[in-house]
Amino acid sequence: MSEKIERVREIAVPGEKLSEGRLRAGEGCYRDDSGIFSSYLGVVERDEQRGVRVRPLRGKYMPKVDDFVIGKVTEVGLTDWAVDINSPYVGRLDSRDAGIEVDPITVDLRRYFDVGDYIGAKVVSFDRVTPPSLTVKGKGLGKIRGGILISIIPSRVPRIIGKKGSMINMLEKMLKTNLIVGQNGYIIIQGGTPEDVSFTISVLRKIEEEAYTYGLTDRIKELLIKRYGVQNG
Amino acid sequence: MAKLSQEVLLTDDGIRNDGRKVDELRPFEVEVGVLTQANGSALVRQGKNLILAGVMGPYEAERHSQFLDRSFLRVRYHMQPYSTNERKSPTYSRREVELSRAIREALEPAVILTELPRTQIDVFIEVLQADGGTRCASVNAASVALADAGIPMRDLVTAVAIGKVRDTLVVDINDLEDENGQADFPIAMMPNKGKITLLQMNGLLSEEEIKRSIEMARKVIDSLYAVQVNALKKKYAPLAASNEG
Repeated sequence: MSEKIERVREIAVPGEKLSEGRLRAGEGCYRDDSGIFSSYLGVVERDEQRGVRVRPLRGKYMPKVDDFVIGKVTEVGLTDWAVDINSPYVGRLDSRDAGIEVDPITVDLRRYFDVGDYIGAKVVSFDRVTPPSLTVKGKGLGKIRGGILISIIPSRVPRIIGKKGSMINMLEKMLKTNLIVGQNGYIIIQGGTPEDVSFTISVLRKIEEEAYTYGLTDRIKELLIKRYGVQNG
Repeated sequence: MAKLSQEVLLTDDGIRNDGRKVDELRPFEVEVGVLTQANGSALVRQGKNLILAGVMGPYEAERHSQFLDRSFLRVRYHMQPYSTNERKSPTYSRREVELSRAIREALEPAVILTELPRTQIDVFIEVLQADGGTRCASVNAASVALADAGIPMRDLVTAVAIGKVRDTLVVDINDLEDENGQADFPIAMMPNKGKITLLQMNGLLSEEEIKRSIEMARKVIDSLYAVQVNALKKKYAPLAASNEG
């Protein structure tokens, strides 16, 4: 999200008129005869080129193709897994998308992922009628071993990542823990002392809570410097 | 119990039993996000009404209650035993089933159900204290709770009950006026669209009175709506403004 969009941030309620209809109606808006209206309680983002959109302040994760998500295996089937992805829709990971050719008679899928395991996965397809299908084929995907999971409001994940990754890069550089951030609002914190971990959680919570304020990156930077001092690089 | 005389409900000076004028609303307050575990919530005070609405969902519906093209909205209106002056049985009554349905149908046109196929959205409404016009106050609470839950909506829904006492139309009737008056006429609207989503009537009104009632409702609904909007925005106002401070 560019600086320009941030400067005109405003909160809209469902049904609030955003434009007479000159702009393009993007996500989170709808158009009817008399103009463009918000369909969520959310933050309005206006852009000459891309039109107007509303980013919901709360709500569950809606899967999008190519999103990296963190999921929890909730069921093991004969040829697939059911995965909780913090969404109304339960994710499905087919054994072929795990790179396993399975003969269901001889192979027990629990050997790969069991109930309660956390996985990093990518959304392959989603059309709302069939469950979102996931894959763990690819770099950085697969079972996540160890760490602490926290859950934040999914629509505020972009703030954790920041403009072109500015926030997440800073966090990775300055925090003494490793973060795995899923677009669905699940974040895994790995490494560090218990104090580092609890500090990391407090930073993430602060970003979540203040996701729609200005100058957040600077405030977080101050917080990090106060705790760990200035680091080079 | 014999009905109160109409003169008690409306004096010659046009003052109602609780001191209001004919077109005056009861105090209306909305608090958003009072519950932390629910996906969305709202607490509404409309006169002596005290109504709590909690939203769970959207979540994947059971197979047998799934719609492939839209979400399944479920509303449960329930009155607490201590909500009225005579103990109300805590079991679910016929009246509550009916009101649940009326409230659901008042909300349904506003919720964009097709955005969330196969899911279910539950709205639980608890009447903690009742003082007439609970269905309207419930609609007001539920629509704010739905917005708070991040559910896509075309508009909020705002409701008010118009009544008739001593052959005069009055706005936002209370329990006494409901029980002793000549008519109870609850109306819900999508304020930005000017569309009516709930219209019920108990009692008798002439065609001309119905038209006038709707016009009166339209006017006061705008001020109720403003309270709903403020409540929703207030929750995020300190955030949006904190860069100045």
